[in-house]
Amino acid sequence: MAEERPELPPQVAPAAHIVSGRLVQAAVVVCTVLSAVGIVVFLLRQPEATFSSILTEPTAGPVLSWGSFTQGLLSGDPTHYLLLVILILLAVPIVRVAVGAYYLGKARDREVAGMALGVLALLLAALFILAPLVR
Amino acid sequence: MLLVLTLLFLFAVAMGAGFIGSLAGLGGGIIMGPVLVLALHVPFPYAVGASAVSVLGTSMATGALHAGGGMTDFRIGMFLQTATVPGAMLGAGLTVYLSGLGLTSVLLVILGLVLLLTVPGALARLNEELPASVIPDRLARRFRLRGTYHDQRLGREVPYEAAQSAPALGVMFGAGLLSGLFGIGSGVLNVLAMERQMRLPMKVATATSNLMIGITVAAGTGILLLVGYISPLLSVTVASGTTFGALFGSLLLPRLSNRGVRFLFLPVLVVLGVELVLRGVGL
Repeated sequence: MAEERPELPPQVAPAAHIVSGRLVQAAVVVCTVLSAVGIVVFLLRQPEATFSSILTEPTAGPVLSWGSFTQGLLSGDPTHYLLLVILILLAVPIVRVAVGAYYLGKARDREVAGMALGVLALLLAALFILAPLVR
Repeated sequence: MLLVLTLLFLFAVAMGAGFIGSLAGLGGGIIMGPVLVLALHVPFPYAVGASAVSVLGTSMATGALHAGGGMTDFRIGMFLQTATVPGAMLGAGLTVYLSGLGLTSVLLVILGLVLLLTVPGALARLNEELPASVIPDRLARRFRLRGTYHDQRLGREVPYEAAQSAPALGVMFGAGLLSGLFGIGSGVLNVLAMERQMRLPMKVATATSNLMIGITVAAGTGILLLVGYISPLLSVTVASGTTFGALFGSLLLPRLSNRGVRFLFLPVLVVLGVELVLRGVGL
């Protein structure tokens, strides 16, 4: 006799996977281009750089001030482009959780949507509250 | 010129790490961290920072190749992330303070032992393709932690259901803590908790882990970035390598057996685990 299985829960809507998948694909392309350009320009502009000198490039200052960050990008500073790659990489999982939570909420799967929103809130708290505090 | 060669070497190693990491749901940070510390003598906090960014690359690449969802169980992933993310936040904060206290050697020994502790479990399950006789617990039933996936190798739909989800949450908190401390994606413990404790199929565990590692690491990476432990050039080079490696790994994963995946990763775990312990104790 075939084993009776419980009814499957509503999985995250396929649309959520497709939307999030397309965003991630776009991020891969953008990061690849920015990384390649950033690395090459960095090496061309700083031929005297050594492996130990690149470790201590300042990161907090540029990231904390959006004004100077934008200015760095506009001036073509490769370090700012590399930092932009890191910020995109950081944003990708957050966007994936947000998209999942949105579609779960839309499908009225309140419990898991609530979990996803909780995870999202913790992530944002880690980035915007805890990180500046620890610094 | 030496810097260019070093970056090329790192890119190549990172590709291998991303490839293996994406197959086993381990991210690749667990390989990159030790390589940076042992082979290139990168100070521990900067190695943690670069590893964390490399894990973000692996997670992104695996997500890009499975736009339709694949074997990733978002529901189970979110359930477990409620424990992993707080652990990662605590771990990242501890890294900053422990490094300040000069406890790098202790951290190296702990990381080495973590690697070695995963070996017996993986050996014990070397021949298991799918878990049998799974009895879902109260939490799993309450949150309906079950689903199905299409197994390309077996050529059929495989149903699955989670067991022991409450203890798995405890393991996940520890996984998050490790992730924050060492910049690894906590993938080892993710996969162990999902496969051994929750009794999920290996491929569902690794695919879901690939989603989770990105989320977990993101929680701690912001802290490392603001403290200044993420070198842009080093981290992006490593992340580019793991991204490409993970893209190839994700293409291969559906065609591999669980046995093949474990066989590939076991020697890496043993060698790196032993090396880290020896280095940590000063030998």
